[in-house]
Amino acid sequence: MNIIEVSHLVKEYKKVKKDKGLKGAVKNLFVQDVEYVRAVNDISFEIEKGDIVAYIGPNGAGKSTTVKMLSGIMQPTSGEILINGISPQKERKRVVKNLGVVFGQRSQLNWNLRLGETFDLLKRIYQIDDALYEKNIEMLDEIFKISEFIDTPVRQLSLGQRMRGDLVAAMLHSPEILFLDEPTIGLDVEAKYSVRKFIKEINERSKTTIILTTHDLGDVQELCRRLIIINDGKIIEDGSLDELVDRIAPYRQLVIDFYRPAMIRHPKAELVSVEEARAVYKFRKDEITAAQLIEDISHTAPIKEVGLQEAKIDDIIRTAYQQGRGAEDSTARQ
Amino acid sequence: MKAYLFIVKIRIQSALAYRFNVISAILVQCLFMFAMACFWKAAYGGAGAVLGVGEQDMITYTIISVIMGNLLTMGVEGRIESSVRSGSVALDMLKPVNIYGIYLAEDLGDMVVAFFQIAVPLLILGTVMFGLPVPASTVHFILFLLSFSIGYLINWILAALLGMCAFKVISMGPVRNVKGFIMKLLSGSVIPLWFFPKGLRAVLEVLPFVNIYQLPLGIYIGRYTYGEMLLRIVFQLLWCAALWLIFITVQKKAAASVLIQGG
Repeated sequence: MNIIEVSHLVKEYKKVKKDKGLKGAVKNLFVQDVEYVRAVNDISFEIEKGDIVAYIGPNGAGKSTTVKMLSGIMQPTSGEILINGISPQKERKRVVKNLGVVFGQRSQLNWNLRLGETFDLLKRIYQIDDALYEKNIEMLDEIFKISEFIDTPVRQLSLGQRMRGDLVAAMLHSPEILFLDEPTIGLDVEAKYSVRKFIKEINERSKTTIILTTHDLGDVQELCRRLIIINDGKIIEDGSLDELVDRIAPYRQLVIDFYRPAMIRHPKAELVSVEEARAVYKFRKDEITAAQLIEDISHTAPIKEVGLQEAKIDDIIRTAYQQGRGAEDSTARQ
Repeated sequence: MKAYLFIVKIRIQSALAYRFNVISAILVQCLFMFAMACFWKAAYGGAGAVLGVGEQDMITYTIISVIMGNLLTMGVEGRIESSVRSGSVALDMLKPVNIYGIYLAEDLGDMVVAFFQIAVPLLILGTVMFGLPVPASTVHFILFLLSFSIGYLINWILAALLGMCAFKVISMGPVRNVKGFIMKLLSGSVIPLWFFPKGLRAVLEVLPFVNIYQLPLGIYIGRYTYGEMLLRIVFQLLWCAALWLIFITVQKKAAASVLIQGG
């Protein structure tokens, strides 16, 4: 079942061109060159219930604009959005009742008061009944361990604790959909790891559909079954990470250390380099498996050590971004 | 409804976190009140009554006016502008409540705080300096409260309407201050309209501003007959309703043009 349906979504911004210098500034007071920029340009996609989808793209690609339209706080220029069959533009209140949103760079917690106070307010705003509220707090506490600092004023929390607080705040009313906008930004390795673990756990326990925008590809690798890449307002990739890797970087490298220097060729793999007793092979996943290759080679010369190198995810995503711009790049293909 | 009441409560709680504000506000306002009262004392110069208003009544008018000014401080203008500029308006709009309901609740919370932290001390200081500013009668006092409440709404809607401009222009510069000065002048909060020239007065009486300060204050000191009071309160209600309708219309348009700043 599709919980989110987006078709031919467009958002146009009016952009005023500013001329250079004082002369330009004075001129702009009277005449303005107006330019229309499409931040989101004809985007369509569907998201299934219970999925975790990464919505990624370079800065200024149109990610946040899309999320803002999905959550009903901004009006699209054209196109249609249906969340659970309801348009967030027409019935904002009904849609947001079922939505949890976390902005990594903005907190919805009340800075001056203890963390629990914000939760109490949300309980009233979303009209959560006592039994459900207790249940949710208990479950969320198990995952996020918030009871340690629920009575601390928010301004005294660490960034990691604040983020946990924000995630709990977004989950209190058991929304079916969770938008996470850079939920791990600025967090240290440990906090990042736990936030990812929490997100996974929430998805598994409550079958919450999660849409994640991030620049941290670790998040994508750890969490997402599906990846939508957007650039210049258009979707340029949509599929699983594995598919993307297979298509953009179908090659893997096998490094073999022999006992003695050897120069062995294989019909399905390219011998990239030989250095002393170390040989590097490049092969396509769909032509031969690593195990087969190792076996074949070991028939000719005894192998001491093997290492397998995948293309780096950063390179793959970078290539994808550049493809979107129409540029040719081969960093991930070497 | 429970949510809005809770916002009022939270607002009161947060205000208690900053106590220094209060002392400086009381000092400044007390100085202002003292200066205004001295101005009227000097202006009257021993004359018993001018245009049917006695000196003591005028001082009562001034003290209550300064106190009202502190209760009628509207956060909504600045609130909309700053949340539009910082982009945090997104967080407000993600809640299944009316955002203007949130803003009104916050302002009401602030008013409760201002009542206890500023209005009560000012009333005490005013009493010590110039005697207790008593209302004309109990009935007058009750009608004053009614008229003050309607005036509060008028003032709030005007502030919200101005605040909504921020959705379009992002930054409003000193417009808010200018509006504040114009309001103070045209509403009779500093100088009652009966001291204004006749022609100007006729125009100002029709505008909504008098309904915010002068009407409740005039009722308080017993300036109007019962029939007049009733008529003026009905007129005040009409203004309130008209502004409400404008507010509803503009609000729908504003929602469509919301741009959220920043990633």
